[in-house]
Amino acid sequence: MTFTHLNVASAYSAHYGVTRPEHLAQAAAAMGYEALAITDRDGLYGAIKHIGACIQVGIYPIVGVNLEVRGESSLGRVTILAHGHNNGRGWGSLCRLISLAHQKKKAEPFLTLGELARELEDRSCTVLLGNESSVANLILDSPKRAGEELRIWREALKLPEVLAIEVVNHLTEPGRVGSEEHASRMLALANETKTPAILSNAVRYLQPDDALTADILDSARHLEPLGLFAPQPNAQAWLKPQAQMARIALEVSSGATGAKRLISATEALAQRCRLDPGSDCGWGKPKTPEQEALGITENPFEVLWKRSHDAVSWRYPYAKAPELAQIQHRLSKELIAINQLGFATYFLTVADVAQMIRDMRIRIAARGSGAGSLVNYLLGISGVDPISEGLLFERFLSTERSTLPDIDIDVESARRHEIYRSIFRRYGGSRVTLLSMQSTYRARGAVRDSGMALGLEDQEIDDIAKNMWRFSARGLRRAMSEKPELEKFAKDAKSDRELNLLVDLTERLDRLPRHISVHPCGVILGNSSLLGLTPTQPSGIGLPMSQFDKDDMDPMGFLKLDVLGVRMQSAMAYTVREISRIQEKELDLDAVPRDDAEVFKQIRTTNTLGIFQIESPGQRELTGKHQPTRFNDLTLQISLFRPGPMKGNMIKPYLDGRHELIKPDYLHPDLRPILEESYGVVVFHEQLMRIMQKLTGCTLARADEMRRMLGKESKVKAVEDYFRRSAAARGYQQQLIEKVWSIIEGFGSFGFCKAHGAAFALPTYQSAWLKTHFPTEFIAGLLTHDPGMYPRRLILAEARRLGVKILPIDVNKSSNEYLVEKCDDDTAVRMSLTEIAGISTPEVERIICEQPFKDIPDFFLRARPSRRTLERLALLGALDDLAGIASLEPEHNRSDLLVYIRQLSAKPAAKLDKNQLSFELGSLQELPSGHQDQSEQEKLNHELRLTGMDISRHQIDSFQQMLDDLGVVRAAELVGLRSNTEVLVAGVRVATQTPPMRSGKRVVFISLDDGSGCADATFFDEAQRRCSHLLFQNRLLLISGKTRRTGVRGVSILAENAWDLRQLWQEWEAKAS
Amino acid sequence: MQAEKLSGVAVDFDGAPVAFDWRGGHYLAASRPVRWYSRRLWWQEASGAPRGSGAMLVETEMWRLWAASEGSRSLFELRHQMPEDTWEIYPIDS
Repeated sequence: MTFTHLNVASAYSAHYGVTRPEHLAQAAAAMGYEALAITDRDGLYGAIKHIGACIQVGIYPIVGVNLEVRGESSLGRVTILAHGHNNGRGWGSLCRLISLAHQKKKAEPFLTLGELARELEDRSCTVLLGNESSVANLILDSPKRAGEELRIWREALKLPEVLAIEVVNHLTEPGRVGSEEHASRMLALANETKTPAILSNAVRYLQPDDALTADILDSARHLEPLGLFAPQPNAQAWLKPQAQMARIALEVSSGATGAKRLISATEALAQRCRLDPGSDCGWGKPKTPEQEALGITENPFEVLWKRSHDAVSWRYPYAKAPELAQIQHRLSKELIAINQLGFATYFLTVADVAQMIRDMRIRIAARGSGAGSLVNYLLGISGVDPISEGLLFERFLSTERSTLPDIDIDVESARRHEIYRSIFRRYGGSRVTLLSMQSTYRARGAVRDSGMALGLEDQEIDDIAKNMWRFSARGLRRAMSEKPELEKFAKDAKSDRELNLLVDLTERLDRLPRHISVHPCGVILGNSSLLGLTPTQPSGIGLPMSQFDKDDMDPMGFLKLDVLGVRMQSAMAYTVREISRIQEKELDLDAVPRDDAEVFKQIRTTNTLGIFQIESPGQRELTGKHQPTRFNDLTLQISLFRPGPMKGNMIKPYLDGRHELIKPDYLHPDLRPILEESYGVVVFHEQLMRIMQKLTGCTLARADEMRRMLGKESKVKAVEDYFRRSAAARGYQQQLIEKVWSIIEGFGSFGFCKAHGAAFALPTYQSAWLKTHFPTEFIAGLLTHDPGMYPRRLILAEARRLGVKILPIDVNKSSNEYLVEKCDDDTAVRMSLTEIAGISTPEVERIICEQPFKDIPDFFLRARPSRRTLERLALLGALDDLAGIASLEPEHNRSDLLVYIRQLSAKPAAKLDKNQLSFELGSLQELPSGHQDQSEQEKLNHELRLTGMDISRHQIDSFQQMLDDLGVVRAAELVGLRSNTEVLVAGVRVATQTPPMRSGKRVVFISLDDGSGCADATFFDEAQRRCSHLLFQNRLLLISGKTRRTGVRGVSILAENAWDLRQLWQEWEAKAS
Repeated sequence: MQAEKLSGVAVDFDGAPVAFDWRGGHYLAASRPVRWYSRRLWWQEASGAPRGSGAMLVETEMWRLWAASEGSRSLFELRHQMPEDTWEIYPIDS
């Protein structure tokens, strides 16, 4: 006689279940079970993983959910199981019920009995009344009331086959819920009322050992330490083997006949609930929006064929016959592959979304391997020409794989939610939902929740947790023996019982799901049956999200669009809008020529701050060495500056080849066209594919398959055999084959996808173009959207270096963005109100709404700033113009103004009646005079304190006298010095990086900004010892060292020592006076 | 009720106690012993909870049964301590 577990919570019942679905399915198969259910709390979070695991181990999947149901009062939690083999009716009901339960805007999801009854009219699910139901809770104390409660259910769900009593014996103390006695009573009630009864073990973990983990999860759910809430009664809720379940059946039904009946009823229900993943859940079948949703009537492939062919003249307006033939050939090849895979609708869908985004006048760019497709380029999904850039379609999509390809698109980050809402509107809420993601326990979160479970003091937990960074909870013991920052904790744990226990508990929580949140960029786009295939729940951004995560997309055949917000796109869009507003020029950034010599000249200066992808200190240094001159150089530079190529030591031979220090080795004339762009170094996946193709005669699709196989140790041999055999057969010399194979073998994980690089290079070029031709507007865009890695004050320093004028905050002219203003035949950037520390959004909004103001009292009355904000505005000079003290020789100064506004704002706020107040204000004395004006240094200090930026001038200017005295070199002058020159540099520390070195030692990179540019200094061991206390603490530094030429315009400083600039200043001043 | 150590416990095939010696009397089970598991407050006593130790830390095996000697018949609770395999007895007033 077989048995099936019908009530099983997996780890995806957050803070309740302990075992991951894959492990449950594997164990069930090993125990000889033919089927297994997953019935997580409040959702299908683990259902797809469960089905996938069941298919893999060869057992039948069953899926249900555990939900609270309310009648006039709560009827407790029950399990709802979907019936299978009914073309998804059961699965659909389950999805809809769960979505419905989450739609109530209450803290906890629940269903009303009416909702449940309506959905079950077609008998597609069975409800199990188990030990968490109100029936089970009442039956020991008042069998009569339990019977009444059951009657409520029976009357609501009148049909047969939709209601069963679930008998659970967890071997708890006799007389308690979950005891043998209790289980017998439930069974008796079922028999008396002729309600079907089934047996389960209400499983929440795989083995008895896991019960202890469940205790910790219970504590995390209750948010209370163990001992302060009623714990689980014992460790019996595990996935028991069939024999033990049979014994329980015997014990609760007092007799073999009863036990047999109970088990066969359970098995009958299990049979009914076995799902057919294909017909019930649409397993593996791609789902794309219907033709009508895309606005097409003909065959999707024909539409795709026509659209892409029509676009050839748009993308290649000047192409001559031979080039056109090449384009047509490539296009046909791609279209055939797309048709073969049945992905035409998919491409049309992505193109439709891309077009919608462009119609909203939002910037968009493709990212990743999708840029390798000509179809994507022609449909406007990608902006990079794959033919001229040498990108391969086969790297993106091949007939050898059949999963939906990822087409990722980057959009303006500031408008991402707007796009989501438009996608919902365009395709309808029945076809769209957001993607979710599960965050899981890592060491830090696990130690926090374990500490709370043990009732440790918050402070103690904080102290331990703050040293736990980025490692898995399971590795805690090992980390304790390795990481110096955990040394003290490791020592304490040896002698402290609770701390030692804490370590074990922490390791137990490893990788368990903690909570679900909306994925940062994923949107699921399906057909109108989507909401019957995935349950949804509200997300933080007001749109529904699926309960499935990204790993569930492929099995479910869901089309996932990655719409990622990129701040640089926002900054560039803002720049273009400001150009249009101020210069009245409509600029199509995507259409500007990609070979502008001025742009590359600007990049080669290495002043790359604000330029996408190449502004980091490392990229800046590489720019100095590399000296890019064309678009493809940017692709190369971005691709080379990656962990893989850096580890594979590809940069130096590439640069040496480029600067003609060595003669590039192309190995064989046949390989020269492939390797010429990178001077003989294999940098790109695409190059590897083409080498394979050339030497073995295989297709590019096959070549990409083999490239992927190189990443798996077990498959390398097969690739090698094929390569050697085929290359030899094609007549290549043994020596060449050896050499090329060693390159291929070593290439492994080092290479980079050129399409990724080229897709990134486009915004790199575009941002450099804007910086070159519209620096003022671009600086305004950078300041407004802050896309980079540096603090805003460095962007201001760069603005000054570029000669871009910066205007101070002014309550009549500033807004919540950095506006470009016309100013004496020129343009300038106006500082934004939002930078003032402590100013509130309503204050900013009131100022913008009420502008312009005629005088200070007018401003005070209508903008209603807090006293603090008013004072800060005055200190920053934002009221200067309004108060009439901005002119060249004002009668009053800012100190006078401060006295005045302090009087003004000292009036009690209670009297704020507009009419009366204006009368009172009128009687206020006029601006006083004669107060000592603030010095320039004081003004600068206020700026730094209140905005974190040196607005009126560069911070370092204050020290200029001393720096001249010491003979300090400006960053911009470094490039003119010989190598090994002893120098002193000074500035504001803007970046500190400590990458690990191959030798295992640490090196510290410091970038100092002195207003003329950035000086990059490297501190090795000995130099670090001299001044490590300064390197991470002090903002203003003086560094001594020797220049080190690294390339044409590449120079860095090998640091010897560093000093605190302020301290030096104090000593210097003391000496001077 | 104070627990007392118990000796001479005989168990059946399922591990259920069928006979034991207590306070000088020899007791035989007079009802089907009901097995149950009570829980332990491991966080107050354990100094570690490595994998595999969970079940023992969380619960203890208990048996409730009527047992009779020559002179008396009463309801007992027997606690089976693992891994020591020792027994304790709690008479239950009834």
